[in-house]
Order: sequence, then C-alpha cells, then structure tokens
Amino acid sequence: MEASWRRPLTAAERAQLREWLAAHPQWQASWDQEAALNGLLRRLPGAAVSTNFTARVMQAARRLPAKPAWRRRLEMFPWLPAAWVPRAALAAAMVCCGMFSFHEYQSLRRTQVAREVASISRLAGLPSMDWLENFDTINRLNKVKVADDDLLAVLQ
Amino acid sequence: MDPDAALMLRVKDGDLQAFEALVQKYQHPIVNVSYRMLHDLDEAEDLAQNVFLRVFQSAGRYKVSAKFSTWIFTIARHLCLNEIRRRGRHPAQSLESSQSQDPEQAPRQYPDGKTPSPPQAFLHRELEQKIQQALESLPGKQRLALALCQQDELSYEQIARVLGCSLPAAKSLIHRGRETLKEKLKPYLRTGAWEEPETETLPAKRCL
Repeated sequence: MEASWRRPLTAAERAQLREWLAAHPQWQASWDQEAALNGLLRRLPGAAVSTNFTARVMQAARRLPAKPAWRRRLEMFPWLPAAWVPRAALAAAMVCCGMFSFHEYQSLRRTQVAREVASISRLAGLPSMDWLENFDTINRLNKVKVADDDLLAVLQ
Repeated sequence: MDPDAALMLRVKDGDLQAFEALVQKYQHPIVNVSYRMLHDLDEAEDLAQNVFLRVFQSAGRYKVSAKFSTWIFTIARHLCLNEIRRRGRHPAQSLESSQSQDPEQAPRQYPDGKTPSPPQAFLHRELEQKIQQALESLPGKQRLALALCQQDELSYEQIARVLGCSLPAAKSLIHRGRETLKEKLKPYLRTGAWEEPETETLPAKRCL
C-alpha cells in the first residue's frame, strides 16, 4: 500500500493485490478508498513556476554582499558557530574592560590610603627619646601625696 | 558521490554555473512543496527563492554528509514552517472580508481573466479546490509529509530526515494525513471518477 502512495502500481503488483483482496474481501472497501485518494492527489496540478525564476535567483545571488574576510576564514573551522564569534568577542571585550576598571579602582584606592597615612604621620610626629630618660621620676612626682623622704634625699 | 553534491562542492569553490544547474533541477520540486504548504504561488516562489539563496550563502560550510536533496528540502521545510507560524501570528485579511457589510450592496466582482471553460473543467477545478482546502486543514507537519511523499526525488528515509523524525514516525504522519483527507473528501472518493487507469508501465512523473 505504501508503494501506491508514491506511484501507480505495476501490473505485477496489481495482480498480487487482487489475489490478496480476493482472500481478504473485508479490506476491499479500504483499498478502494486508498486508490481513490491516490488518484485525487496525483491529479492535483503542480505549481506553474515562472519562466524567469532561475534568472531571478541568479540575479539575487550575484547581488548578495561578499562575506567579510574574517567570516571566510572562519569557514575553515565548521565546528565553530560563526554567529557566536562577534558576541563572544564583545563579551570578552566587556570582561577585559571590567577587569581593567577594577584594577584601576584598586590602584586609586591604594594611592588614596597612602596619602592619608602620610598626612596623618606629619601631624602626629613622635617626640624625641631624650625626655623619656626622666620619665619614671616625673611619673612618680605626679603620684606623690606625702613627702617622699627618699626622693628628697636624692634631690638634696 | 551524489552528482548534486558534486555540483554543490563546485558552488563552494565559487562556480555559479553549478549553482544555476542546481536551481534549474530543483526549482519545480521546491516550488511545488512550498505551494502545497502555502497555497499561494507568489509566496511559494518567494520562499523557494529564499531556499536557494540560503543554499548559496551556506555553500562555504557545505559538507557531504547526506544527499543534497535531503539538505535542500530540510531548508525548505524550515522556511515553510516558519512562514506558517508567522501567518498564524499575523493572519492576512481575506479579500472576501473587505466586502461591504451592507446586504443591499452587491458583492464585489472580480473579473475572470481565464477563458470560459467547459463544465467538466469547472468541476475539476472545484474538486481541486476541495482537495486544497482539505490539505490546508491538516497540521503543518502532516501537510509537509504528504507534499514530500509526492516528490520522486526523496525516499522514505530521506523524508524522515527532512522531517527530523524516525522512519516509522514519518510514515505515521503520512498515514494520519491520508486518513484525514479520506474523511474530508469522502463524497468525492465515492464517485469513482478518479480511478487510476490500469497500465503496464509506470506513467510519466508528475510534480505535485
């Protein structure tokens, strides 16, 4: 039956079919419908293609813009989807810009912190070590409430 | 090697004459399939032109992995189904709907450019219209399967590859489409006027 979908049956095939239908008469009506539909479909007229169709296609093909050189080189790598190359390039450029910006920001922050530390260090300069020599003495003087006999003896 | 694939390899090298040979060989089958899907000859030719331009643009990446006919019909399938989906989103307004709603106004008349035909030819045209309407009522894939089935260039295996399904699934699509057509065209199938003539040899190929 599938053969009849695509072409008329040959004489041998029709003879075989007649024998089979004689043995299975319940399928006669189904076959009649199939054959009728095959006839209807085969008699549908084909589309009348314009006589200048080929010329129009060739003209359009010649007018197509030539592929850029990078695209032609990409065709050497058919596994690489060409449509994604510009997008991948744009994404890579954006990532690079992002990384560069972050690096610049980090550098700027470090410079700023270094300047702040330098300005603080100028304001809060450490005193010289000389006055620390009598530190203990001075510290005890502050705490004395009664006369310190030992200290008086030393000072005398 | 498939002779059409050999031609396509020449197109890959820039041979326009090879491309022209392919266009001439495949224009009728591609336009026929497009016409069966779109039921508009102008749109079918436009779509077929796009199919060939896609083939030309893809020549640089062409590899002989299957028969050329399978490849070009696969491109046609994608474009046909895309067009049907586009039509579904933006339906075109029928000319009949542009007629005035006033019942007293006579309906618009369209001059018949064709010469008057005998009644038999008129009946044939009416029947062709019914068949076309029945085909258009089929889901896109079934309609495409039936259209491809009428192309002698394609085996059932190739039809399955074009449709992107297995061989049993392709035959099932064709069978279901035919069952629907039989149901819709039942009154016409009973007439018996379309019985096939019994001949010894296969008749000449006819494009559908």
